[in-house]
Amino acid sequence: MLMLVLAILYEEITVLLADTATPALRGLTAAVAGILVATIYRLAKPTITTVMGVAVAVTACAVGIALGISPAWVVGLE
Amino acid sequence: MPKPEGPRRKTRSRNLDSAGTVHLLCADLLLAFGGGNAVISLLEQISVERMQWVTPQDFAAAIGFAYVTPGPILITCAFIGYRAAGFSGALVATVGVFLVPWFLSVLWAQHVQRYIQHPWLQGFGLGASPAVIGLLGITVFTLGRYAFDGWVYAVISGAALGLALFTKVSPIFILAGGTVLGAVAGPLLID
Repeated sequence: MLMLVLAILYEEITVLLADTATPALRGLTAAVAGILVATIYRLAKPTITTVMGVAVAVTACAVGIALGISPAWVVGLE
Repeated sequence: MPKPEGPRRKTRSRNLDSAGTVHLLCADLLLAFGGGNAVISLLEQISVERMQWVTPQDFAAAIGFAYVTPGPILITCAFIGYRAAGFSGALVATVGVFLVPWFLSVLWAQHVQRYIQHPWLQGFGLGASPAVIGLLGITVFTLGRYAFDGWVYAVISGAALGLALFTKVSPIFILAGGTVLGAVAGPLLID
C-alpha cells in the first residue's frame, strides 16, 4: 500500500514539476546505482570466493550487456 | 537504446493487459533465482526494455522506493504496474510476481530438503550465485547510462556507494540526498 501511495505521489510530482523532477530523478537514479554497487559488493564478498566464481560473474554481466539476452537464461546457462 | 525524455506523462502504457502481465511475470520470474536483488535485472529487462511499461528513470525510482519501504524488493512491481496501468495494473503485477514463488515454495519446500545434497543442485548453486551477482551489474550499467548525464551525477553515485559501504546511514537518507542534490546541482550542468 505504501508503494502505491509513493507511485501516485511520484506520478503527480513528475507531471507538476517536470523541470525540477528530471535532474532530481537523475540524482535518485545515480544514488540507486551507487547503492546497487554496494549491494553487489556485499553479496559478492561471501559468495564469490574462487577465480571460477569471478569468471562466472563477469561472464554473466558481459553476456547480458553485450548480447542483451534475458538474465534468467544467463543464470540457467551458468 | 534511446535516451528517455525524463518525467513527462501521466498517460498509461497501452501494451499492458492483465492476462499478459501475469503470464509474462510468472513465466520469466519462474526462471529467476537468487532472491529479490537477483531479480532486479530481469525485472528491468521486462518492464523497461522489452515491454516499455516504464522509463529507466521510473524504474530507478521504483527501486529507490523499494529500498525505503518495508518488505521485499519485488514490491517494485506494484509501482511498475501502477505506472503502466493504474490500480488494476498494480494489483495484477503484485499478485503475479508473488504468486509463482509462493506456490513453488509451498509445493517444493519438503522435497528440496531431500535433494539438497544432490550434486546437480549443489553445482547449480555454485554457478547460479555468482551469475546472479554478475547480472546485478547489468542493472547498474543500464541505470548508469541514463543517470550519468554529467559529473554531478557521477559524484552522487560515488557518494552513495561510499555511504552505503562504509557508514550505517539509512538508504532512505542516501536516496533523499541524491534526489535533492540532483535537483539543486543538476541544472548547473545546463547553465
